[in-house]
Amino acid sequence: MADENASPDAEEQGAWARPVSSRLGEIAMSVALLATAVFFVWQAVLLPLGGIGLPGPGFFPFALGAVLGLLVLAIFYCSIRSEEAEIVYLGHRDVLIVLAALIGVALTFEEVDTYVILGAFMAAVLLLVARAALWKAAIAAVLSMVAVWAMFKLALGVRLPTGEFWDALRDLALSKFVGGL
Amino acid sequence: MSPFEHLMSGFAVALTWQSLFYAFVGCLWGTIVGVLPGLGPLAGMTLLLPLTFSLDPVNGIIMLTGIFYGAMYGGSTTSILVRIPGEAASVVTCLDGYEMARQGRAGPALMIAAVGSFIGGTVSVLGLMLVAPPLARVMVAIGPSVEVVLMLLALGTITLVSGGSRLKTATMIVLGLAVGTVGLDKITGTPRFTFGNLGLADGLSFTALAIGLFGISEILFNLEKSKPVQAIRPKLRELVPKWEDLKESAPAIGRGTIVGFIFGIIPGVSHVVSTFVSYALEKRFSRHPEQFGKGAIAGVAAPETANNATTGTAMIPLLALGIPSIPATAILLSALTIHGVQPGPLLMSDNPQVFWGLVASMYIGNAVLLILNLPFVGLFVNLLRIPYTWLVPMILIVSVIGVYSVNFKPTDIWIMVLSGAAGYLLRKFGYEMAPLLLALVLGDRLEENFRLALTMSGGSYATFADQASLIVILTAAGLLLILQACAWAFGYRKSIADQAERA
Amino acid sequence: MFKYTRRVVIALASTAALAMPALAQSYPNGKPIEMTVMFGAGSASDVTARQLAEGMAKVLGAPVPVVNRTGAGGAVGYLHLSQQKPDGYAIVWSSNSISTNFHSGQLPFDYKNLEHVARVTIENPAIAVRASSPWKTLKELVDYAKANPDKVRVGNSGTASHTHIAAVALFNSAGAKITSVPFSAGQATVNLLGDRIEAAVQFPQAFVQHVKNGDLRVLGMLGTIPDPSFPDVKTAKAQGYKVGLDLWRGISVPKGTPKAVIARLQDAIRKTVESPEFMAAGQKIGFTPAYQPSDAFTKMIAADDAGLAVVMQDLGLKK
Repeated sequence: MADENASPDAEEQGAWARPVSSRLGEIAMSVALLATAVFFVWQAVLLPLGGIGLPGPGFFPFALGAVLGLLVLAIFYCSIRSEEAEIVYLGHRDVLIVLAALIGVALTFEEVDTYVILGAFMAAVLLLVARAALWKAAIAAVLSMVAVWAMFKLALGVRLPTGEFWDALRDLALSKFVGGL
Repeated sequence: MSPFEHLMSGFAVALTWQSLFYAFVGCLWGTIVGVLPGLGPLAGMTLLLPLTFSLDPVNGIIMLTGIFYGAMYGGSTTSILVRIPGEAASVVTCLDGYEMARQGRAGPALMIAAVGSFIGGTVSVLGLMLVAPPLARVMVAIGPSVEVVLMLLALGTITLVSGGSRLKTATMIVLGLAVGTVGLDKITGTPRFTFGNLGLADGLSFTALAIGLFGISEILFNLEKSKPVQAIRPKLRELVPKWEDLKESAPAIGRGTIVGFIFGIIPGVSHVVSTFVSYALEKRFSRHPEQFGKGAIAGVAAPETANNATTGTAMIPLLALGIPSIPATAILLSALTIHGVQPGPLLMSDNPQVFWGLVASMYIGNAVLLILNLPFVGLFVNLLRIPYTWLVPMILIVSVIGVYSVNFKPTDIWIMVLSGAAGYLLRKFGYEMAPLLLALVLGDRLEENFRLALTMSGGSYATFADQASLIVILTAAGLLLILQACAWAFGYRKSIADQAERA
Repeated sequence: MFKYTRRVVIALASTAALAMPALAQSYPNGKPIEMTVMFGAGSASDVTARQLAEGMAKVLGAPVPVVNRTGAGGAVGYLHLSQQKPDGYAIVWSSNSISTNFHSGQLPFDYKNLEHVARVTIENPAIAVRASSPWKTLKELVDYAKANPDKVRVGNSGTASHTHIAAVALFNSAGAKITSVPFSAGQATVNLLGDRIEAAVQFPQAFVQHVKNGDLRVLGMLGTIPDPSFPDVKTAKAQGYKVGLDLWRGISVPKGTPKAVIARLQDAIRKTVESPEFMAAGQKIGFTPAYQPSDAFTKMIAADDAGLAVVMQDLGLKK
């Protein structure tokens, strides 16, 4: 039954989605959490642990990392022993696009003018995910940035970073002009 | 004068046109900042703080408390509509509020949140008025060791009533506590897990984590549905709660008020803890606990009532001791001192007009908030008419700016994005986010108080079983018994039988 | 390509050179001057900064927005400022924390990495006990602590905070050992009231109401001068202990800020600090206006920094 439905399901799940058995996923997940626990314990022992009467800065992370490790081992044991269960799909096209766009925002924030970044983000998501026409996406991006400006800058007085973008552009224009002389 | 006469004189101060105007401005502003994710009561009050310097003390404080209430209430709006908690106190509201919105019941959810907030807020002001001085004495008796006991009780309650696998819930709680240790150690100042990055020195931003784990992961989930889930568009008559909704919510609001008022005495995290505990209790007492997490209106009513009920209690240490117990009341403290009013044990006798004017203004503020918000419900609900894929970039943009505006650190945007991806994966495999977030809130203070208590006791663990702690545990147990008795009295057991019959 | 880049550099350099004197003359020209505050909104320090910002904005004819950049005991704020352009549009609300942060290893640079415009206020830590406690004078408390090492628990507002350093410095100077309890903001007073610690060191405002109400007793001021909040209380110094630690606050700017800009800021600060409104705010919030111009201020910081280095070394807080 799983085999029959796998391919149409996958298609419905989006172009790039991959089927993963939830048992395998559970195991991978608990391994990742176990790695987190080990990381906590490892980092904690580098800190002063203190005594049981007067715990130091490393005491809590150490204890919590250890308990986390035990809990995850229990989950790991359960998932190893569990029967093959349902199929989970990972890697949907739209999910990956939105995540990539968000990472792009995080990378460029404070480097480039906020309105430029967020306007580009808006347009990109509308084009690729909502599959809007280019002109619609462009207008929506501009309008949404006007709204952001009015809401956050004008009404709330939030300081949004302008980055070096406009400065660089102005310097470039200026240098061309001055250089042309 | 009796408290009643005092209150009347307070109303005389607070019921002028001017004061009403400032209460209105404060509530409106608070609702706006509360609705925007990231910006919470703190940001809203800070932005308007300089403005209050030029007002007279009573009006300035009335406006600031209005923002405080407004933001507490506004936080629920995005929780319900798009599963993005406007602030920490509305994390729990996401669970059932958002499910209700998906079933086309965003209107009743928002309405009941407003009504619950109003009742919780008003009743807790009543409590503030009547028991402020004795309760202040109780608060002085609550030291770090008692706080530890209280927090452990809260965490235990959550584990016991959580849906899904208990093993996974416990894992999420421990993970939350562990992640909470990131940043400078509160006691010694030793950097932990920061790797020299000062952006991490104060720990991972809770706002960024909450929006990432709840909101972003939800967006990713919805995107992969073949037909993006469009929340059902509500019809006008469906904006108003049905009779069954009200019947369901009334006891929840009652219990939420009690829980909120009592948990308000925990310094620092009261408004968050109270929402989790009241939700847990509702689930425990509900005649159909299986509906929780699937759009139970009691799951919206109880926490929203509770977080507004804590606002009254949170004012007590500020007014009676001059000590702010949460960041928002710290701003009120500075506003008061700027006006030459020093809160503390002498406030009631030295500045009765300020104290009672403030109390009266809280009643007025809550009423203004209710009137202000009911018409907004229709407006907000209509936002859901926007196609989901168009709504996604808008929600994300507001979230990015909101998260950034809390501390002006680009690190926080990274935290939001990465925790969104992590939350998406964890949720795929049946891990719940709510216990993780609660543990994150508590983790910091749990460790700090644990170690402070031991520092003061000279390393003796007996401090956690001293008289005060035992009283707290017994009170909690007694309270549970009383609530259980109330549940019986309200005939819940009978309705289970009814249900069985119907089925 | 190379030629082009060089032209850009020359052009940029020449416009910058042209802009410099013009900038200093017209500064601030209505452009916002961002004041970084390292403490949370609503804290006493933040409120004082906002009072100052308001006054400066009036004098300079430019907005002075306050931005709270909290974290790492202030290190985040100092680091942010040190990375800003030295053009006078980025200023910081500085304090002794620049020295304590450096000596504790939190901050990679010390006070010499910034220019200091003017001192604005000083605050004076006080030590208090419960009114019902047996200690009527500072000497009785210190003597008790000396006789009972580690038995006296003294609350402060966090490890390496000014209140912590002042408390330990006081008892150390008499050869007494105490247990320091580093509470978060405001909690030291509650715990003192709740009988969980023997004494607390806090700034006067945290005690005033409780002293008037008869719950607490202030035994001494740990700064160099008595405080108007408690006119009858002598300084610890006057009572024979070698301790005098004022908390100063002022305005600093990134290194390399033009002299003319600093002079303009200094003038605006002086006018604000000497205004009656600022004086009145000081009485309410609990600080003493203490204007000091740039050169005197810088010398004072140097002396203070050297003193704190010694104290922190003694306390084992120096990294």
